[in-house]
Amino acid sequence: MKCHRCNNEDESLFAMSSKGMYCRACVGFKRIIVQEDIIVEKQVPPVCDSDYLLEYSLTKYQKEISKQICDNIFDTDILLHGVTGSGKTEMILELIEKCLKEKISILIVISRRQVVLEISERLSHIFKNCKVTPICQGYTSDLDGDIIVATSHQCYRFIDKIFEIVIVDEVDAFPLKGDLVLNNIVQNCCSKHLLYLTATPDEYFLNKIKNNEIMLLKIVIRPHYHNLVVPQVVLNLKFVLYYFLYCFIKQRIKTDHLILIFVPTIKMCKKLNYLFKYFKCDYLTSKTENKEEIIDKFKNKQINVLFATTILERGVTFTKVDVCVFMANHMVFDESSLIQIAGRVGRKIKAPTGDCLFLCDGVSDQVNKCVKSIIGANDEKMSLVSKNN
Amino acid sequence: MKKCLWCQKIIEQEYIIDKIFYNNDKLCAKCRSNFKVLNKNYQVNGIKVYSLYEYNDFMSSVIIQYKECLDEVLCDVFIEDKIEYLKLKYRNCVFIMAPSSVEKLEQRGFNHVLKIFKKLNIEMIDAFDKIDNTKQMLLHKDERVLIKDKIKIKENLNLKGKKLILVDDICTTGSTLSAMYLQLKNYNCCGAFVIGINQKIVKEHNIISYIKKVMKM
Repeated sequence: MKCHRCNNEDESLFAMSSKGMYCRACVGFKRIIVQEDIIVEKQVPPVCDSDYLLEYSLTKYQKEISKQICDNIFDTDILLHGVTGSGKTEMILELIEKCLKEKISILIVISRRQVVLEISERLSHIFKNCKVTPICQGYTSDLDGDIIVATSHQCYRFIDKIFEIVIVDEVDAFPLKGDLVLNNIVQNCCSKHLLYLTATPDEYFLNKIKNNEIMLLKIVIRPHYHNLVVPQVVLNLKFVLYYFLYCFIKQRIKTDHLILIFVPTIKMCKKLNYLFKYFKCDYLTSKTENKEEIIDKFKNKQINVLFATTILERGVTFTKVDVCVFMANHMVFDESSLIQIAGRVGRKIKAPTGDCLFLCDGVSDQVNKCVKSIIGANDEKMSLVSKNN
Repeated sequence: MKKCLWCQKIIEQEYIIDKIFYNNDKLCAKCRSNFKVLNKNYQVNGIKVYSLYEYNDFMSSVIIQYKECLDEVLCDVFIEDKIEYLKLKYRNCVFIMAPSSVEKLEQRGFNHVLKIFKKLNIEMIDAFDKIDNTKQMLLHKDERVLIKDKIKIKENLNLKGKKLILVDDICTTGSTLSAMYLQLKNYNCCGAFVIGINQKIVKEHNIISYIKKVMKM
């Protein structure tokens, strides 16, 4: 017996109900009866086509990659590994345009709700004639559109209406990482091939690349050709770290940069906010209610210092920002999240540089790995640039 | 090789104590400890309500998976370890189920309240019709009270001379229970029995808040 939604074959996870056997592995997405055959329809292909309009042009490396994606996506699955801030979203635009022209249905899966809304608004500006439908909590009534952007938890809605191409953003991030059921549900929405975007591929994908099941495309150059910011690591006693943090804020506040400080726990976030209230500061955690308001305030420089938990680690862009991680050796920060945090610095073409500081009160493997992989990416980029010149 | 119904991990029975006390439990010890056990009586709108658990975040996610995602196996989780005690406690009583609308029943394919209390072998009567199909969960506290117009007692019921107990899954504000209680006032209705009760009501019955109340008077 096999569940057609989550590919579960474990006998002990099937149970009897009043209507028939059902799968308990994916029952959180509303029960489906296993014996019932569902009729799989193809998603209605997009109606209109339009060229994409960008205010800025892509670099030659980005153009090359996006051409390679378009050529190969109909033959194999692709993993696009780009360093943070290399413009992965811009590189899929050409693929979307091609799909719209050839009437191929397309789905974009993103892990966070806020990013879904942000990207669908951006796409509707770029593809002006098309209907871009966001599907996430609060936006679930309308399921039709030319381009559909959804969170990974909403993908179960398309189990009987499958897409030809599925783009999965941030496969290494929270809901998809290590969740086999959710991964299978996303894969079952797709009839042909998937495109994964990531900045830090995990072991599962590295194994797949070894076995040639998936094609790897790599981009190590940011659009502004600057190096990635390598974090400085400070290892000291805990109370000394508070002094370091104080010095960092005091020194950086003189410049016009914003200061973003990542903290492992909510409790520590509140504590630091209380300690440093001499500077204009605020804090942001997953339990804060007016998140967007605080982020807007921070962007408009009404707040100089923002303490945040890992909630801000992905998908946000600030123009001029310096980043500090307090207690970087804490177990909530793993390699991929530290790389993402270091990648918050210098994302805009106007402000390509900044500072990144890791404060640790103990030796951590993850911090070392993170610094190594950032230096490795920089070396790779330098050799690539020098070869082309 | 039993698996926990909630976290799908294998239940380990290493110790003799596990085998003696938890041999019938379908949850692992860790998930079981997330239920906050009360087993107490509370006064809600003048009705004596007996509740097994406090309705916390974990309990709400279990109830949602059972009721909305239709995971029928979870029906045994709630009263399993207290069956013998409850059988004794309500041995002469008749249970009156909280109403649910016909459409909802058809959609689910089972009656969620009936399924939970089925193992007690106590007579259960579906005495009410629910006319409107709006969820109590989505309504505001003031709107919830209006349920008393939405439920109607069935005719030709033989309830005279029986000890009646109202049963429901969750008691949040108590408006469903008091609406049922009002319509049954001609009969011998002597209390209610719920699985989970709202944390606010539990706090009101706290000793400290009770002392404060007395001090103010």
